[in-house]
Amino acid sequence: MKGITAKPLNILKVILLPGIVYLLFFAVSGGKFGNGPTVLMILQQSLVPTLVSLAMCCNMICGRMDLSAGSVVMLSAMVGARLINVHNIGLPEYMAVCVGMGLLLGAISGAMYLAMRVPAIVTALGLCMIFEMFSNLFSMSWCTSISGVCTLPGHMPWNFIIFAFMFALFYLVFNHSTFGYHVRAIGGNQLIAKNSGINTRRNAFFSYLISGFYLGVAALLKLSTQGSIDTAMYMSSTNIIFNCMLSIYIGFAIEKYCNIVIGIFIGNIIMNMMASGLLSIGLSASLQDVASGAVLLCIMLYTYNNQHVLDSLARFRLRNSILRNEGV
Amino acid sequence: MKRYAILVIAVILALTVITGCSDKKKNTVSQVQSATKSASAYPDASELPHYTIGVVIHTTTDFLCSQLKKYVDYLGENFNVTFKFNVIPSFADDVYLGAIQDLCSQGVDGIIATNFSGQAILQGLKICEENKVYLGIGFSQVDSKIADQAIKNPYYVGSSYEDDFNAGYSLIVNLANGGSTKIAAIGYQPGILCHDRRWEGMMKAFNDHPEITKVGEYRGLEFTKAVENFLAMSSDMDGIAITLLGMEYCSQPIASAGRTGKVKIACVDFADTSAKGLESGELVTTIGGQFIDAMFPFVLIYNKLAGTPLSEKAVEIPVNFITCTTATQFNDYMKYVNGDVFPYTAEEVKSVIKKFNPNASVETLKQWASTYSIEEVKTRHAAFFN
Repeated sequence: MKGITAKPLNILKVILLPGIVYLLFFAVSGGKFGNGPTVLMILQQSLVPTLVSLAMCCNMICGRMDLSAGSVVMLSAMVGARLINVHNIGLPEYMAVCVGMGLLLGAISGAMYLAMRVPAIVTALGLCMIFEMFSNLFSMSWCTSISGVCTLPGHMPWNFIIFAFMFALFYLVFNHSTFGYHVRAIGGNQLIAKNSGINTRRNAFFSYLISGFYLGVAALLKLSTQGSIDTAMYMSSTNIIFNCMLSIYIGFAIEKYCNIVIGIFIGNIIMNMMASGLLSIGLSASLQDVASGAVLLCIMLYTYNNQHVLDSLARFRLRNSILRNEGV
Repeated sequence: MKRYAILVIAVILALTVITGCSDKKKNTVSQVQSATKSASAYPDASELPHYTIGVVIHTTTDFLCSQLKKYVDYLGENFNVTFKFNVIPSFADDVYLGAIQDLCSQGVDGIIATNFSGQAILQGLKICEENKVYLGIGFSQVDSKIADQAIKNPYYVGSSYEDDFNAGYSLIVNLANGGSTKIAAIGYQPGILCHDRRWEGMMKAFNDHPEITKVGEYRGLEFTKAVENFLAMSSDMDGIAITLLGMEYCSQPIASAGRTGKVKIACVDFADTSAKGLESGELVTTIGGQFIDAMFPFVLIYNKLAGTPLSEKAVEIPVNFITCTTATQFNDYMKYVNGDVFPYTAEEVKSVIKKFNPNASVETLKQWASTYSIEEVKTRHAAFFN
C-alpha cells in the first residue's frame, strides 16, 4: 500500500523541482519566459547535454572523472564537419563518422586508462589535450560550419527520435543488463565488487566504450543543431561537460525519488531552464553564471539536506508530544 | 609486425587525404611575389639584416587571422624577418604577459601583440624594456588612461586599430535600414576592448534610435544557445546584431526555427560564409578586413630596428574597416583585398621604411590606413588584375 502511494508522491517531488524553477522565471520575466516555443527550445537544448551526461554517468558512478568527454565531442564533430566541407560526404557517412569517431576515441580512452594505470583524471587530462590538438588540426577556421541536408539530425522530430532511442537504450543497459548491475556494484564498493567476481577492468573498458558511443551521437546532434563547431583549444572543451556534470549531481540528488537516468534528464532540463530564464530577465552572461551557480547550490543544499531537516522536524514534534504527554 | 606497418601507413594516408590541401593558391601567390620582386627598386630580402619578430595572437586558422598570418609571412619573406607566432589560449592579461615573456626569452627583436589593450600593457612594456624588445599593438587602441605613460616608453612603437564603436553602431543602423525593428544584441564576453567597443556602439545605436526595439542582449560564449533563446522568446524578432561571425552562429538556429529570411543578421568579421549570406539576403551587413592591421606595427618596429624610426614617439594609427552590404562588394573584397595580391605589397611597404626611402613618414602610413577600402586597393592595384 505504501509503495502505491509513495510512487505518485515521488513523481510529484521530481516534477516539483523543474516546476518551481519554471514558475520562478515565468513570474520574474513577466511572462517573457515560459511560452510554448521556449519550453520546446529548452527541451531541444537539453538533448545534447543529457547525452553527454549519460556518457559520463557510468564512469562517474565508478569514481572515474572523464574530463576528456568534451574533447571527444569536439573532435568527433570537427572530423564530421571537415569531411562534409572537404569531401562533400552525405548524411549517412556523416552520421557514421561522428558516431564511429566517438566509439574509436572512447575505446582509446578506455585502453589508455587500463594500460597506464594512473588515476582516470590524469589520463583524461592528457587525452583531452591530445584530442583538442587533433580537433585544432582538423579545423578549417575558428568556427567550422556545415549546412544543408547534414543538419537534418538536429531538426525536429529527428533530434527527439534519436534522443529517445539513445535514452531508452541507456535506460535498458543501465537498469536491466549485467553491465549496469556491475557498474552500480563497483560504484557501491569497488573492492567488494572485485572480490565477488566482477571483472572491473573489463567493466571500465566497456564504460569508456559506451561513453564514446554516446559522445559520438552527442557530437552528431550538437553539430547538426548548431550548424557550426568551435575549434577546441587549451581545455576549452571542458566547458561542455561542467553543466553536464552538475546535472549528474542533480540526478544523484534526486535518485531516491526517481531512476537516476530520468534524474539526469531532469537535471539537464533544470540547467537549461536556468540559462534561458536568466537570459529572459536580461541578466548579463557573467551574472548569469553567478545566479546559475547560486540557484544550483540552493537546489543541491535542499535535495541533499531535506531529509535531515524533515528528520529533525519529526524528532522535534515527537519530543514535544512526549513532553506534552508527560505533562499530562 | 607487418600488420602494424600496414596500419601505420593506412593512418598516414588517411590523414594526408583528410588534411591535404591544394598548392594551387600558393603557386599563384609566389608568382605575383616574384613578379613584383623582379621590378623592385628596393633591396632584396637576402641583402637585408635578419630580424625575428614575435606575434601574439589568439588563432592562426580562422578567416581573419589565417590571412593575417599569410600577410605577415609574406612580409617576413620579403624583409628577411622570421615571425614567431605565440597562439594564446585566452585574452587574460596574465596570458599576454606570459606570451610576451616567452617571446622575449626566445630572443625576438620585436613583438606585435594583437588585441592587447588593458592596464597590463604597461607591465608588458616593462618586460619588453628589460629585454630591449620593441612592442607594437594590432587590433586595438591603448586605453586613454594609460596611453600617456605607454607613449613615453622608448620600446613602445604604437598601435593600429579600427573604429569598433562605429562598427557596432552601424550594425544596428544597417539592420534598421534593411527593415528590421526588433533586434537582439549578441556580443563576445566582456574584456576584449574591440568587442567591448562594438558592444558600446550597438547600445548607443539603440539609445539614439528609439524606433528600434532591443529584444534582448547577451554577452558570453554560448552564441547559438542565445540565438535559440531569443527566437523562442520573441516571435516577432526580425534582426540579430552580433559582434562576431554572424552566419556561423546564427544561421542554423534561425533555419531550425523556420525563420530564415524573416530574421536578418548583421555582424563584424568576414568569414567564408559571408558571400552566401549576403547573396541570400540573410546577412544584411558584415564588417571586416582587419588583417591589414599587422602591417602597421611591423613597419614601425622595422624602422626602429633599422635605426631609422619613423617617429620618436609611439604612433596611433586608426585603420578603416571595410563594410560589405552586397555579395558583389564581398566578392570584390575577396578578389582585390583578400586575394593573392595583398593590399600593400612588399614593394609598397618598403617605401615606408626610412632606410630605403628617406621620404617615408608616419603621415603616409596614416593616410594608407584612412583610405583603406576595396575601391582604393582596386584602383591602386589595377595593373595586377589586367
